[in-house]
Amino acid sequence: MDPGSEDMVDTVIDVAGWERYLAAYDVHAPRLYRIALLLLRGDRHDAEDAVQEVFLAGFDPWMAGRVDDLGPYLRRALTNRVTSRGRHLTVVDRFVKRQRADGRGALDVDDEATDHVALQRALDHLPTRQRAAVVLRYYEGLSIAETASLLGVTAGTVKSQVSDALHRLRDVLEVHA
Amino acid sequence: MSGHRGGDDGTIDERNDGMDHDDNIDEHDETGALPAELTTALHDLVADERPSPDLRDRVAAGLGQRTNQRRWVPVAAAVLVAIVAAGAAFGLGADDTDSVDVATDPAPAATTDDADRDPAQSTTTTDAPTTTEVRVAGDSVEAPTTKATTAPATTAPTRASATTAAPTAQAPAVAPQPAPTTTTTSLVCRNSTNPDCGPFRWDPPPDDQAASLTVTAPAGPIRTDEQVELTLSMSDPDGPVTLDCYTVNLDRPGLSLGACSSTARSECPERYGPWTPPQKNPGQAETTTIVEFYEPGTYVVDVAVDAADGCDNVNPYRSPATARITVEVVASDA
Repeated sequence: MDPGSEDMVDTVIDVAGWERYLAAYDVHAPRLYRIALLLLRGDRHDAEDAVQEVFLAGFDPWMAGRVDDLGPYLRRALTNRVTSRGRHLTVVDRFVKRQRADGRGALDVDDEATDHVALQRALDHLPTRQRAAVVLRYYEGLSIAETASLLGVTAGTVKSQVSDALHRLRDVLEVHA
Repeated sequence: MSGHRGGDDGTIDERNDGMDHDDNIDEHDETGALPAELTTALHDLVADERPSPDLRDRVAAGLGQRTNQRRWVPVAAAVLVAIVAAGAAFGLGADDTDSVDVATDPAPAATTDDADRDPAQSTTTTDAPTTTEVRVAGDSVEAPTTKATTAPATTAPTRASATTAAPTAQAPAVAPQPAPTTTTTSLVCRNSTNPDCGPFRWDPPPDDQAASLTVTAPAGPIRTDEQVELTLSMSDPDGPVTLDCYTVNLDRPGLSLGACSSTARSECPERYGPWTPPQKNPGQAETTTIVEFYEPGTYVVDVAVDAADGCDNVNPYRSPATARITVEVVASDA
C-alpha cells in the first residue's frame, strides 16, 4: 500500500463525491428545511443547524454506497435527531383563542395570517412526538406504517399520537368538520 | 379521549385495552375535515421558507473538512494495526497469524436496519460493518473465525477492544470465548438509557388513578364583554399536578386564554426498554384563568388539563383531567 498514491486517489474521489453530494443538497435541502421548521417550532436557526448536521453526518454513509435513497435517509436522520435528543420547550406562552363570531369555526380569508400564527402555536404546544407524527403524516404524506417505522413506534402508537394531536389542534384552531 | 373504533384484523392495540383495532382505520374517519385542511395549512405555513445561502456554504465547508480527515484515516489505521499486531505477537507466542478488522469508515454504518434508530448517529451495527482487513507483513491470516467473532454485535466505539480480544481467541481452538468479555454483552435493560434496549415502556404497567378537576366561576352576575376569572382546582391521588398546560373551550362567541408554560418543562430523558414506575405521590394545584363572554345567554365552558409535560416517559401517574361548567351571562347593560 502506497499511502501517497492512496491519498491522491482518496482526494480525487472525495472531491467528485463532494460535488455530487452538494448537488444532492440542492435537491433535498429545501424540503428538509421545511420539515425541520415544522418539527422545531418554526425556529429557523435550529432548523438550519439540524439540516446542516444531518447532511454532514450523511456524507460518509452516502459515499460508502450504503444509502439507497438520500431524501428518506436524511428525513429519518432529522426526525431521529429531533425526537431523540430531548424536548425542551423554551417558550412561555399563553395563547389566546378567539371564538368566531358566527360560531361555525370556518376559516376566514382575512384571518389567514392570524391562522398561520395560530397553527404554528398549536404545533408548538404539541409534545415532540405528537408534532413529529403530525408533520410526517400530514406534511410529508407518509402512511401510518411509514410514520411508525420512522419514529420507531408501533402503528397503534402513531394513530394514538395523531388522534390526540388532532384533538389538541382542533381545540386551538376551532376547525369544525 | 381518542375514541378509537373497534375492528378486527387480529392486531392488538398497543394501548392494552383488550380490543383489536383495525390497522386500516384512518384517523380521518374520526376527525372529520381537519386532516385535509391541516395538510393544506401545514404546506401553506412553510411554503415560502427556504434555507439561507449560508447554510449551503456551511455544509460545503464541513464536507471539505471531512475530505481532509479522510486522508489521514489510512495512515492512522495502519499505525493502529501495527500496534495491535505487535501486542498480538507477544501474546500469541508461536502462533503469529493475525487478521485484524479495522474500520476505515469513520462514520457509523447506516444500513436500512440501523436507520430505524438513527442513521446519522447510530453506533451499533446490526450488519457486519464495512471493514478493511489489514495483514501484518509476513504473517498468514486466519481470517474467517476471527472475523466472525469480532464483527457482529459490537458497537463501533469498542471495535478496538474487540480487535484486541481477538488474539486471545486464537489460543483456544474455539473462537467465541472472548466474546463474553467484551463490553457489549453485558447489556442490562432495566431503567436503561441504552437504545439497544428497544422502545421505552413502563414495567410493570402502572395502574394510574384518575385526577379530578373543578372549575369555579365567581359569584354574582356575569356580564358580556367583561373579564371573568375562573378558578381551576385539580387533585391527583397518585401523581403530580402543575396546571401548566390546559385549554378552555367556550361553546359560543367569546375569548378564552389557554396556557402551556415552559416552567415545568425540561429536557426529556432518553429512556429505553423497561423502566420501573416511580413512587406514587398525590398532587394538588390551583390556578385562575380569564374568559370573556360576548353574548348574553347560557355558556358551556369546557376545561381540559394536559397531563403531558412534553415528556411521555417520566411519570405515568400524572393524569389529564377535564371539567365542564355552565355559566349564565347577562348583557352588560342589564
